[in-house]
Amino acid sequence: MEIGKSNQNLLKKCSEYFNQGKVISLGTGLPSLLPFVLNGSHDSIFLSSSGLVGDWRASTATTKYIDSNGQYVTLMPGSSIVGIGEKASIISGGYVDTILIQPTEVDLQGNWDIDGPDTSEIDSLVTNCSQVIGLVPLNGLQKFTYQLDPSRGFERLSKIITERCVFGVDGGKLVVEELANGTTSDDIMNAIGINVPISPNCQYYDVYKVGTSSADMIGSKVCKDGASAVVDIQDGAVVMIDGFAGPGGMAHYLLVSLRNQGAKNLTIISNTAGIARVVNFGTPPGKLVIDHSILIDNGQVGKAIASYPVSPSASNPSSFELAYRAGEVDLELVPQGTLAERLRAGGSGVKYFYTPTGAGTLIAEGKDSKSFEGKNHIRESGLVADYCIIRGYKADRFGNVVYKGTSRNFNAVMAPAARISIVEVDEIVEDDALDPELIVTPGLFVDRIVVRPAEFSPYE
Amino acid sequence: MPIDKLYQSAEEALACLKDGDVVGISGFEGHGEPTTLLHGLNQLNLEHLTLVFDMPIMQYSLGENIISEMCKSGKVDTLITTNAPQNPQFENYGSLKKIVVEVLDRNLIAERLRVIGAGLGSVEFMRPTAYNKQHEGIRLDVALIKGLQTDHLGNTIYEGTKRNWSPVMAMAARITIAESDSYVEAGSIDPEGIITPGIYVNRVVCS
Repeated sequence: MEIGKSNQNLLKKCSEYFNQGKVISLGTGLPSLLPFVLNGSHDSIFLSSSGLVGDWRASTATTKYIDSNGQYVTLMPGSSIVGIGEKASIISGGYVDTILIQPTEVDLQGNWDIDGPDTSEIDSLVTNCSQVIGLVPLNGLQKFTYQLDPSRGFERLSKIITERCVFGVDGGKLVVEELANGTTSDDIMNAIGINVPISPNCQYYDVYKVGTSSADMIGSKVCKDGASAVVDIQDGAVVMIDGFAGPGGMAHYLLVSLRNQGAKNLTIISNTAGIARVVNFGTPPGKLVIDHSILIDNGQVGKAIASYPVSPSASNPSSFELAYRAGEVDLELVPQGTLAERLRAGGSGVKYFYTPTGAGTLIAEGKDSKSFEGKNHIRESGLVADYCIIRGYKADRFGNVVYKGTSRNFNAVMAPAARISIVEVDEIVEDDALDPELIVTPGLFVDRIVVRPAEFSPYE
Repeated sequence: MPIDKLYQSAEEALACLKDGDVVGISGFEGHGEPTTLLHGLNQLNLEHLTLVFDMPIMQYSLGENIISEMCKSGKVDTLITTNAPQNPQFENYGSLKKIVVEVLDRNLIAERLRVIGAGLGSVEFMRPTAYNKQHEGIRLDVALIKGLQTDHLGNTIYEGTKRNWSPVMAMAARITIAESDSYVEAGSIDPEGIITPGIYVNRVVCS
């Protein structure tokens, strides 16, 4: 694949505006060439509309992966594959930091418009990203205009990158913020046919020395121990805790770390509020399995949002049950499928959804209801959290996670719903060890990784 | 009797389609299209179909050609897609204004399919796009999807980015027909690697 020198310069320049470790969505056309030009000299995660997550290179041979343009590519280590459904969730969940687009028209207020292939998902991307960067080669094919018709186009353009300058928007007006050495304001005016003022703070740069940020988003994701992984969880935080009922899929090491850390008045979101301890599930005699109860016994929990908060045996109540009866904790009871869907909604940017589950029961009290296809539905809200502590099997340093058997349970749906996702794994594997097609939780959802020490026991 | 979802031909598998059906077809830029099923679909004498298909624009695609042909020959009432069709054939037909082309944001189509797949009534986003606040589902009568391997129970895996629309369409359809490169014994696919569980897949044909 031949990419002209000026487009290479432009693409390298735009990478300076990426935020470390964040997701960059690449539209068709020029933006989709970015991974080939940067060649790994960046610290971002790319997302293509075809379902690629990570980083990739052009391939002249037929491969099983294509990018947004339909170009065959090979994947770099740390990449994963998602379907269009999961990709939509990544976008609506707010995980895309920057979108790169090639606008067809730009005005002097930074408004822009686009047509052709790029429009296929522009609404959802613009709505959900933090910044929109426009790539505009100075070849006259894309138009600069005084003012776009307000009835069309979009507002929020953060930067416009050309091969010789960078435009920004200052006080609602387009200005030249950076100029390549050897380029004058007249050159820019001649190229775009319209006069854009030079910012008084305009910076000058050398086009051949741009885009050289070092590629290490990752080192920072791996924590040295459980204590450092949970150190900043504050009193009153909302924490999702994975696990189904038994010890499987429960981040025991992180639970102990959180108990030792001592944050109080936590709201926990979990399937149970800790019943593994009272059911035992094959716990060795004389031992107690670690579960949510250790936080409750330590007076750290103010509220639980759970689907199975009580012990299955009335004569053997759980810690949460005792605390609830004593009036020490609050409870929001949620049907299990609704809990999973509320978590998924939270991770996918869904504020409310209507479900038939619970309609006409006590669960429906105080909730809006509506009929769909003749069936009564109630409105439920998405759940989000400050943190989630989840239990993986293996992770790579990019945060890609696979699970072991049914210990997957709520893990995969919680990771996207929490602002900071902390994963406890048996092992951190080599960069290329995980099959991109088998990764269950892509690294973009994972913020911290900690290895459960070999000598750690889930019983105490 | 053990479950066996294999049909000997696309024709037999597609016999469940009827006039007025809403049919989802997988594929992204010609990648991951169920080509055998598409040929079979083109042979059927049906009317008033609604098709949900991500019309490719950057690459040649058999799906685009067949769907444009079906639109031209009067089988389709509505086409739900992410890009205005580029095929000149289509343009000629479109000028007759007999069919409705709904061009929707790709991610919103995916979410509306998922609404049905998850048994919901509708969803409302935290950050709604300018055009719509409440999104009701798109219920498919039939989904035509493309797998790499499908087992006797319908469990399906995909090849690379050919995965695209298949999983979410399989969830949203009353009847999902998977065209797969190979049909294998139950147990031969790693359970942890299965992307579309067999409960979503009703019929299987081999490519």
